[in-house]
Formats: sequence, structure tokens, C-alpha cells
Amino acid sequence: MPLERVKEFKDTTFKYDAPAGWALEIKRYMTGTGLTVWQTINFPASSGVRTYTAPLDGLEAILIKLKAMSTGVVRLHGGVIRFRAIGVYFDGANGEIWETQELGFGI
Amino acid sequence: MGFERLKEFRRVALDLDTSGEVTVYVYTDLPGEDMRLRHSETVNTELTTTGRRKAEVRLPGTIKGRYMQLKVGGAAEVRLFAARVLARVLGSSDPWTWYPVPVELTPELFGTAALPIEPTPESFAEARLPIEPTPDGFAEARLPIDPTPDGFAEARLPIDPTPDGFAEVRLPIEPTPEGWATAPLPMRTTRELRTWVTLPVAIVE
Repeated sequence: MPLERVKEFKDTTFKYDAPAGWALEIKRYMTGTGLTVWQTINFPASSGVRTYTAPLDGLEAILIKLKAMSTGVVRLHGGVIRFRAIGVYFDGANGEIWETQELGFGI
Repeated sequence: MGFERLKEFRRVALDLDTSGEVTVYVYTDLPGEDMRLRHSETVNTELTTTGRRKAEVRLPGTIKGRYMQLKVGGAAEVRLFAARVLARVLGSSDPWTWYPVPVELTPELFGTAALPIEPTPESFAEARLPIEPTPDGFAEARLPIDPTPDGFAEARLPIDPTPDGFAEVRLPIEPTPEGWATAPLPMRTTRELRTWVTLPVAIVE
């Protein structure tokens, strides 16, 4: 499997039913820091099935891991997350660089 | 692709976002037919913005070559979205032209990824409960009655068997002793001496 690129995450949407509400813990994996907790989002309680979108401000990650938690019953019916891959991302603190090939530009 | 022509380079433009100062290194193969560092310059987008911006590196007029190589490095995070180089063929009347540097594309739009949550079906499914079905017909059950055998069985009666010989039985007769036994008779003994006995006699007139 090739190395995963760094992604920028915009938001996540869940369709759920949770009378006591619930929380979503997001862990992110980046080179240098490993897998760490980035953010915990509280989703409001619902009296039936509802859809809720939570922003993911500034979340950049190679991999993410999600964990749903609640003090009550949670019924998850679906969920999506929006993201885009960043063209080139590197962290100089890890000794990473960006370097091209020798470019002739076709002329 | 054939041999590249000799070019002169004027600018390098980068579309990037850095978290601090990084250095842009420019290498060319001339002079000397050797890829060497010809120019370097620091870039720090944090000075003007917290996000993405265009940074332009102006190159000295002496930088030329058939090939150019770019490198960006430093102790900061870098998000590079695009890069291009302003160049023209040396000794020709061609105008200065921006040539794109191959950088992996950052999509303008966010894509959507479905999270691995099992979909909830619209309709209900059937699940069989663990209840034994009632059969259409009746089943036979054997009652606990022993079957009557066809023939007769032998049973031993509680009668002791008659022994072949005679057994001895002692009769309850006292044995006659060999000698005589003495038995005292129920008589008073006669006293040896006589005694006088005064009798009460009354006188009748």
C-alpha cells in the first residue's frame, strides 16, 4: 500500500437517534506525533432520528480514528466525513523536505 | 523527449502555506553540467497570513541551465499547492513564460467518505423465534406398560428343599443323673427333751 497523503478534513455529518446525546472522539495520525486525540465533539440529544453536521476546524491527518461515546443509547444510522488531500504536505521538524526531479519544462 | 534547450530562469512562484520559515533551494545544471545550488531564499507565509498565499522567489539574472530542480525544506510545516517557474529559451525571441512544476493536485472541493456504519434498512426483517413448530399430525408416545411375553416364565416358590438325609433333633428330656439325690421331707423334728407345759384349767362348781 502506498503511503497515505495528508488530508484536510472539513466536517462530518451523522444521522442518529440518541436520547441522551453522544460524543465523538477523533484521533489523528501524523508522522512525528503518532496517533493522538485531536478533538471531541458533542452531538446534541435527539427525540428521534436526526442529522447533525459538526465542523472539523483545522483537522489535518494522514489517518483518523473515530470513537462514539454516550451515557445512554445511541443508534447510528449513517455518517460521512468530508475531506481533500493536500497536494504536498511535509513537516520540516521531522526532517522532511519537498524536492522535484530535474525539470526541463519540455523546451 | 529530446535534449532540453538552454534556458534562463527569472522567478519561482509557490502557492503554499507554512507554519514558519522555510527555504527554497534552486538547482541548475549550468555552468559545469553539474546540478548545483544556484540560489536559495527563505519564505515564511506566517508573516503575512495564517493560511495559504503566493510566494515568489526572484532569481538572479545569471541562473540558467537545461534543467532546474527545486527543493523546499526547513523546520516548519509546509502545505504546497502549486509551483511554477518563469523561464525562456536563451538566445531566442521567445517571450518569458510560466512553466508549471509538477505538484500533486489539491482538489478545490472536498470529497465525501462514508463512515463504516452499517446502514439501517428501511423495512423490518424477519427473525425466527426459537419456538418449536406444532406438527400437523399426532405423534405416538409409548406408555410405560411392560409387554406381555409370549411364553410363561418360571418363578421359584419359597419352599425349602427336602434334604436327602435325616437331621438330628434333641428332645427336651432331662437326662437321668447317675447318683441319688437327697430331698428333705416337710416334717418337724421331734425335740429330744420333755418339757412341762402349764395348762390353764378352770374350776367348775
